[in-house]
Amino acid sequence: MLEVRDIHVEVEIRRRRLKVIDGVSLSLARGETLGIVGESGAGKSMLGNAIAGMLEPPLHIAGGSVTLEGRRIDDLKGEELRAVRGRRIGMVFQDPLTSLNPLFSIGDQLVETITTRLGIGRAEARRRAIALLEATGLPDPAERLGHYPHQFSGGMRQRVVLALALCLDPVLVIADEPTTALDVSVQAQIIRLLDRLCREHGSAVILITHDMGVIAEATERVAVMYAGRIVEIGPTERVIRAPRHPYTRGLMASIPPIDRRPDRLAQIAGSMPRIGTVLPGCPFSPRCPSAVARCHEAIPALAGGNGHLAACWLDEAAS
Amino acid sequence: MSADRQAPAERPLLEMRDVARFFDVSPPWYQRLFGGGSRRVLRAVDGVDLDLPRGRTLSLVGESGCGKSTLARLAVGLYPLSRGSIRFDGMEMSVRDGSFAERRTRRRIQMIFQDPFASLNPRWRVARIIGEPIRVHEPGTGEAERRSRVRELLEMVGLDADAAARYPHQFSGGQRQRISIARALAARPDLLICDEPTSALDVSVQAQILNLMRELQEELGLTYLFISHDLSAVRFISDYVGVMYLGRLVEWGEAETLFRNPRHPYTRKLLESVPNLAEPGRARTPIAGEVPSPLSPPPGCHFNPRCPLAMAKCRTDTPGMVRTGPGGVRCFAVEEETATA
Repeated sequence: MLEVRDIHVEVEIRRRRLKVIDGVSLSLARGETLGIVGESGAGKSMLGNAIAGMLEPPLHIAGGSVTLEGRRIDDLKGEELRAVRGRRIGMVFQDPLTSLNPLFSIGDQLVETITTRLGIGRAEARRRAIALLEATGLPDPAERLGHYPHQFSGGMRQRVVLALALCLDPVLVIADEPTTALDVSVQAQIIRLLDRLCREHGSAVILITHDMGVIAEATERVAVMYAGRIVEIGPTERVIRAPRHPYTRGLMASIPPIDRRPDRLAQIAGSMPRIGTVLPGCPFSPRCPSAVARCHEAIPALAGGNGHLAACWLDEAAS
Repeated sequence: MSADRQAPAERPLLEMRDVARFFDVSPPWYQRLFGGGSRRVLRAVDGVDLDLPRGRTLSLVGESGCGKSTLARLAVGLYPLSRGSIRFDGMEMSVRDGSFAERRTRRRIQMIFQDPFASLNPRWRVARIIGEPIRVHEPGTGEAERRSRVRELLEMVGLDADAAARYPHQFSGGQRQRISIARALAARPDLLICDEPTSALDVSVQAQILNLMRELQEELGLTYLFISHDLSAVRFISDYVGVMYLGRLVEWGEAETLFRNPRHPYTRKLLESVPNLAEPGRARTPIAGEVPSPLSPPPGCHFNPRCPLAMAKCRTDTPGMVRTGPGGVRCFAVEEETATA
């Protein structure tokens, strides 16, 4: 359904071309949920924006392709792009206030989106909006249509954003840190809701987050990103239980366990290379505890069987 | 760190008794006069009793608006108390006479903030940032001695000596948090109040900072008051945990006991809502509803509208703290259970 092939995203700063995404490929089946996890600067949000055609200049796609339902969408412009983005892809961001216009009631925003994209009358659109809000668990949806974004709590706002993202039955929903700004108790509610709504609407989901807990709970497959590349991708349970890339292993080990208290946490030495750092070898090699000479010389490709792939020279699949 | 390290007779380093802080959030008087609005008081912290033994870590957890950060600020003295008392090493901290003794005591409490980007002066070099508390609290210190102290502190938090000549923007988030810790340690504190010190950091960097904090505690015998909403980080760092909900402490106790056997329905729900990495794919059970506005908390036990065990009494009366071992729980349901058991 979605096919991302060898996509490169670059930005030009002071005549220097910096690579932000460096050759990412992935595919997504209809109705599937894929998680993208990584630390700040790994390029996970950029990847989401690149797929949705939402990169802000000077960021641009410098190579590769994005195909949605058999149609290339990475080179679309203007009205064509808006039609695809508005109709086929729904977006949910971390801060619900960035997705909602503070000057219009949530009813106006939902109804306008539905009428302009689906070409149906306002009364019908209003009925749809109420049904959608009801499905998100918002109390008194008919009455609350007239309310403005600031009159809702954070959790309720994110419900409205979910309704807005799903009101046109998109085939793909890209959710970028949808629960990061919320309290834990509300987080679980929103994750459940996202899962249920996307199932009901038959939408596939790309869930971008730094939180392994959210990934574990809500996704079927996960891609781990590091320095603009996917270093490991596979079924979520296998990636979490038996990670194959040293970075994934380090990441998992550095999360404090909830059921016991160790004396020390495993930590990854150093920090992620800055954007634009060009290394001849594996981007993780300077921090990798098991790096060998080859790791510093050439970049490993993703390899492995049963849909569980890792980009590491030390992984048996690579040799 | 075992529970028997501290002699039971020793006086806690920090003692909070019936600590409360109210904020007046009424509209201005002319609006009240013409618009008919009334006075509104936000009870951010409402009657908290807690002890923090020397050399140990007490964490305060809870969701936004529960008052944990306000309580931390009260402990440092950033806000005056509305009611109650806070004693630090036996000295009443609500007395603010500006005396030498007061200043000397206050120096021993330092704070680390959540945002390492906002809490360091961007125009100062690291040497000056870390040297400032020495200059203020130990004015007799010579230039050379101060420089060598700064070098020592940098080494202690795991930074190179050449960091001293650089500015905060030249460091990553984790390194900046190390600088904040070095600055706090420069005043030779006994108590460090840490308000979400790792919340802005990535997990791999969080691990570095949490490890560092535990090493420093061992080395210097520091006492921590740790504020966080991240229960895994709390599990790793704490000896004691206090759970807050809408301004009240609903449960507290030894971390081990509280995590293994939570008593208050809110604590149980809160722990259940943490995703468990050992069981991927297991859905969490979310708590019904959201945290009500702290401006108009529900009467009785504040948790009653979301509580699965709520009884008629919970909607009208406020439960008192029932002691359980070294800790306590505020819940009528737990009270009855203990009485019948």
